[in-house]
Amino acid sequence: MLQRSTKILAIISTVILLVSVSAFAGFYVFIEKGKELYMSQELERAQAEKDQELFKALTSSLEETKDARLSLESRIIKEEEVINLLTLIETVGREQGLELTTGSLNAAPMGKYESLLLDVQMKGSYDAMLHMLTLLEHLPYQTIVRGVQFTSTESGVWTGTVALSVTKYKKP
Amino acid sequence: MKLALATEKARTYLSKLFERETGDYMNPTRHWLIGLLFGATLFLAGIFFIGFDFYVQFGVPDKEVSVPTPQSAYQRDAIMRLYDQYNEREKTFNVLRADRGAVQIVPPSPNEVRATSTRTESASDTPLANDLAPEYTSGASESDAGTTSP
Repeated sequence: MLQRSTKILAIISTVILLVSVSAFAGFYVFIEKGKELYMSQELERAQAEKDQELFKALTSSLEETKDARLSLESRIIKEEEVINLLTLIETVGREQGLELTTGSLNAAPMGKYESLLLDVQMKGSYDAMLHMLTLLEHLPYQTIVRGVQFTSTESGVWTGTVALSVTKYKKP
Repeated sequence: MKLALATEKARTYLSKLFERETGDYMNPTRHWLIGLLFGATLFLAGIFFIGFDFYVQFGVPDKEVSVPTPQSAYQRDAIMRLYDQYNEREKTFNVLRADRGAVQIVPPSPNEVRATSTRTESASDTPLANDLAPEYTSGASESDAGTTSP
């Protein structure tokens, strides 16, 4: 027959065992949560490293392409350069022996830029007009020839209209 | 005072617990059981501690975490390619401007509309503006309504 003190000791031992098992289960849960936190921190760290690499690459690219970007920015005309562009077109037209006028000039919004729409009316020989058209297509600005119409007259003189779209910075 | 009283009570209880029972006889079964229970408890606690220690050391993943490499909207090669294109365009413009009359073209017969072409501007027509401002996207679509190019 078991003594009373033996029972008490057995109970205490069982309690200690249960506490140990509970502590182990608690440790397991604690470690699992710790693993999740560790993984998320590792992801953040890896992402930060990648971002840092990208930042360095971008900074390096910005430095390398500084001149190119400045040059490209000059391909989009500014508000004060519109007159220069019109003068250039008219000068080139005169060099080709054409009578050249700017029929209409409008601006249409295009995102953070504007699209300057202008109709260039020409009058002269056929080959001069074709040559002028080629020149307009190669203007050293961001331009697009949107429409072309050539018509001959009885006297053999040709007239034509070239619709140009020129990318331009918006007014500040 | 209270602490001294509690200590005295604990000492009395433990003395009763471990001292021989009245009747002054040995009970080896009880003492073996006590030893075994304490030993088993200590053994289990030690096993749990060692397991936990190993789990801490080997349970945490140490594999390399991989994240996708972010892509920049600004591509150095694209900018340099565009830069070359516009330089080439300017050179061609200057050459064409100087070569006036180099090629003689026979005009078509009079009263003939030689060519009519119209097109709508689209985002792909403005690579320069798009590259300098990659966040800009145009909703316009290209449509060639013309017949032939001159």
